[in-house]
Amino acid sequence: MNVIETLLASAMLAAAPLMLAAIGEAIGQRSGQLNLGVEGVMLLGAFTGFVVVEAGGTVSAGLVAAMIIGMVVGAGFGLATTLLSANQIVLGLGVALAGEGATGYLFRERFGLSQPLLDAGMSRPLHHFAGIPVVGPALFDQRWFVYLAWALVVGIGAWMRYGRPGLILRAAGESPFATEAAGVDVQRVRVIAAIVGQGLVGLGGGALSLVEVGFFTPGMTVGIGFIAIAIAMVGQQRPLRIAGLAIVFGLLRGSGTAIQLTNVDVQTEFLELLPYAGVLVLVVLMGRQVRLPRALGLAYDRESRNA
Amino acid sequence: MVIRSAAQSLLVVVGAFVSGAVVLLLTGHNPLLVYLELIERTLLRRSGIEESLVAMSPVLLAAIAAWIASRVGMWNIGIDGQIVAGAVAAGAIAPHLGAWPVWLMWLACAVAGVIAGALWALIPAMLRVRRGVNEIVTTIMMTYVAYSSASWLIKGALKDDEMVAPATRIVDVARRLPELPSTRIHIGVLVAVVACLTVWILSRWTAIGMLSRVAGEAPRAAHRIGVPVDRYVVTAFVASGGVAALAGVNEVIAVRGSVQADWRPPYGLAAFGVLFLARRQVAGLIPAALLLGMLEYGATVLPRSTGVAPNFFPLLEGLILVFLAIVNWRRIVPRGRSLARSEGAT
Amino acid sequence: MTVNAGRGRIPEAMKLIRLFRSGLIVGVLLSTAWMPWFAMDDVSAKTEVDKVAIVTPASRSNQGWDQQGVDTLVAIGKDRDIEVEVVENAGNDPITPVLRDLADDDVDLVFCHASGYQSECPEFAQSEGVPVVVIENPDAVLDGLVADIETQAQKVAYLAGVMAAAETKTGKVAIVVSGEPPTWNYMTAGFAQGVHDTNPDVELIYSVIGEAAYDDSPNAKRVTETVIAAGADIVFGMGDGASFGMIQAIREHNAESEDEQAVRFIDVIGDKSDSEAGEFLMTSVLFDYTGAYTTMIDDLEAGTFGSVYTMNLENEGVRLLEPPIEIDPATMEQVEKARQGILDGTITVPTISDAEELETFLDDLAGDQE
Repeated sequence: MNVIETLLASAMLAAAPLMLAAIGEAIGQRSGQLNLGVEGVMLLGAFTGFVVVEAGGTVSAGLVAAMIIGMVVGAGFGLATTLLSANQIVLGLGVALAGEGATGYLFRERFGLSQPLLDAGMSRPLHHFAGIPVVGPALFDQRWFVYLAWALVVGIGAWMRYGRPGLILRAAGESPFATEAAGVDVQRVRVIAAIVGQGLVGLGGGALSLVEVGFFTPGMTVGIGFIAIAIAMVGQQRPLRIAGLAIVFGLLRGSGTAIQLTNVDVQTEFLELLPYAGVLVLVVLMGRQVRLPRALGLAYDRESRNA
Repeated sequence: MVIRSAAQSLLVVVGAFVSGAVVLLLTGHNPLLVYLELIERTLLRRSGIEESLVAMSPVLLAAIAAWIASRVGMWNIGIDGQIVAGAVAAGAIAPHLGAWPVWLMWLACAVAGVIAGALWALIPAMLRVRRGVNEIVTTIMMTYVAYSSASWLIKGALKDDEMVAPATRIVDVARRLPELPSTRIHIGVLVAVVACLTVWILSRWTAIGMLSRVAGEAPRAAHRIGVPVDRYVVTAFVASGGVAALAGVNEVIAVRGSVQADWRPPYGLAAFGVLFLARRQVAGLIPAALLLGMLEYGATVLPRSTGVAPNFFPLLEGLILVFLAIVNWRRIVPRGRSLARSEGAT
Repeated sequence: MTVNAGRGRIPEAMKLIRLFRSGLIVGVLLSTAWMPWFAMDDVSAKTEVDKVAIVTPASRSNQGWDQQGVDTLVAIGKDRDIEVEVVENAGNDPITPVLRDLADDDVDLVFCHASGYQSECPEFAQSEGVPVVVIENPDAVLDGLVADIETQAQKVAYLAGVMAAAETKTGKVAIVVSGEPPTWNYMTAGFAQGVHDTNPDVELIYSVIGEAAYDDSPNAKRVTETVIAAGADIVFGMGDGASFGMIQAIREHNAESEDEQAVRFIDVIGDKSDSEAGEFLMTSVLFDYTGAYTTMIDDLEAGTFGSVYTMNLENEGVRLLEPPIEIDPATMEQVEKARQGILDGTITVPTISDAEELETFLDDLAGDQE
């Protein structure tokens, strides 16, 4: 595998956790909830998965555990924002901060004196076709989880756009009162959306520590959670766009190394800028097009009266 | 009414501490001991009180910044980036002003910092007002851009060649903000308190101060009565960035004398903790900031004396935010944000 | 007092009172704080060292920089019956509060184990009168207050380079770093020269993970995968916490590659033989602080504190770790010959600490190959 191939392959790999987190957040956003705590949920997922595997579980068990912890947090978030009219922004920030603190704290308390590494071991089912130049390794030499991630993202995305539950979700996000009047329990929809959505975010986190990197370090998400939120917004909750954006992001991050190897004189710090600036530019360019659900971030209070 | 709000805030803090206690227990620490140690070190020791007050100053400034933005209904999540912008600006010019009288240098640094922070906030503000782009995402991205740009500048053009770890040239101790006699409290702390008072006065007794509140809570109504809502929003957001930047300037002219390339100020989220603990009242910002200042200071010294990993304190702060979100505070949320209003108003 | 229950507004008078109340509380706290005022101990020529402290930016679990400092000091403490306070994970935030806290606890000497503490520690020493040891900051040295430790590891890195050039099967060796502080630049230059002198045809691949990416393991892993893809079969990694990313990349590659060469690793500063890296760890440019720390403590007790101690090949402050894996005896002979050559002066090793100079130097070396 040469450098370009490695670059593409690692971009695909890095995109997997990001895609999952983004589509998870997108589900929540569709239903009108903005969860800023993605960073924290991803870390919780990463940590939980890591702990399970380190204790002897299989990678699949770890991934499922990561997803479950995401779902638990999602349930909490959904219930708090619907039943208790909790402020989503503050709650999200709190989850982000608490999640990072909790995982860092538990990690140091438990593994304080060593840095355990997990054994490599996920199989690569399509390995046989990896011989194709340039895109071969990127497309076919991935661990099975990457393909699963793609399947999830595309499947869920399509279901959100075309399926009936997807329509309900969208209605709940745009005009909750009207939807409620049409006979849908909006609060229930939101809670379910939060559970499913954050479950995916947790899974993304698990993928980060178990599939992409192979161990856990405190704060390992380094802003990926916030990027996922941005991608969810810009991606307009459309699966292919989200996946595409995630790959682009993965590429931008990996390109730093590749460029160094070609001896082009660009400072690494500048390259680090690129992903974030890129998202900014995208958000600007798509400005008017970025239609967020009208009820995004607002507390839906069934009982309140129109003054 | 006052008692009720204060009680709710107290409940939040207690709730957070109790949850924290559970975590401590699960990892084999004695929460009572840990909390008592925290109180002892931050409140019952002279050095602790001084350090807590010093730690309070950037948090207070960040909280004021958050408050200003929230006044017009905006969320400034990019405070940390604005702090860095301010610090870099101050750190860039300070070494060149060696010949100036000290107070003039401070003023210049403050001005430079405020401008930098204001500009940093201007971009998300304009994007929000002109193109309707959600400021949460833009401010977060601007923060990361700030970190990378700061690194780039500090390791490049601004680097102090005499220092190993990349940092701007140090401001001599003699030329930093003086401390209150016999204490370690530098006057930056007073500046933060004064800023708080100034904002309070401005919000109460100037037209723009009062009207910006209307602009935040009921933008359509404000627009109808002729308030230039967009302009107010941008002005407030820019002011917010400027105030946040002061915390960065603080770092250069008072705390460390320079900015290091990998500095990530931890004040952005704490600012919101303070903001809501204070129930968005300016008067409450100071005691709330002091509490968070105590936690920040505690985080540096408690690990050594209690063996608790330092990440416990961000966890505690996060829990405070979570509880704050949950406590029913419908009355505190600007009406404009509640769906009922906007649906009805259409 | 009218209170509008619906809106929850607090009338002006109450607000003023609340503000005044907070101010009063702060004022009272401040004034009571003055009461238990004890005069600061003056620094008379202390000769008895009972308690020392070390402050490190990251966790001692990283089996590298932080661990070497902490473990060494703790061992010395046990030996000499000195109490050792360890403050780890101090990060990059201002550490002055921590330092002051240590001073309050009557610590006799503080080891500031990171170049990021370069300005705060000397300032603290001057204002509080507690002696400190800094690293890489010879200008800050002050009689009785500030001592400095320099690490000149380039000669030992040269030897590591010799080993790498002799052992590489693919003819490509990679240097992966998570930052460009002088300590590491010395090593990069020395290593590169060692490789070049041993076999000028070996290609060197130099890659920087990030600005101060000492903890960025995921990126470290990515970068390492890339250099392995480019053909390197020996990786000289300087990463602190990030080294785990490098190690993981190598592990995965070795586990999954079928007919390709197993990749091996050369570490710095610490000894990772007991970890997963032990399977492919060739050696390490070990930093041994025992001599440095012992001298500092001795100096303090003798009243001669305040000098620069340099750790290098000659005083074995820096040395090559015994290879945990099998290395061809012929290679080891080459290394030993090189070592002799350095000691008797026939071999000169470059002393480059600046990042830009380093880039030029590496370019020149590469240029030589063409």
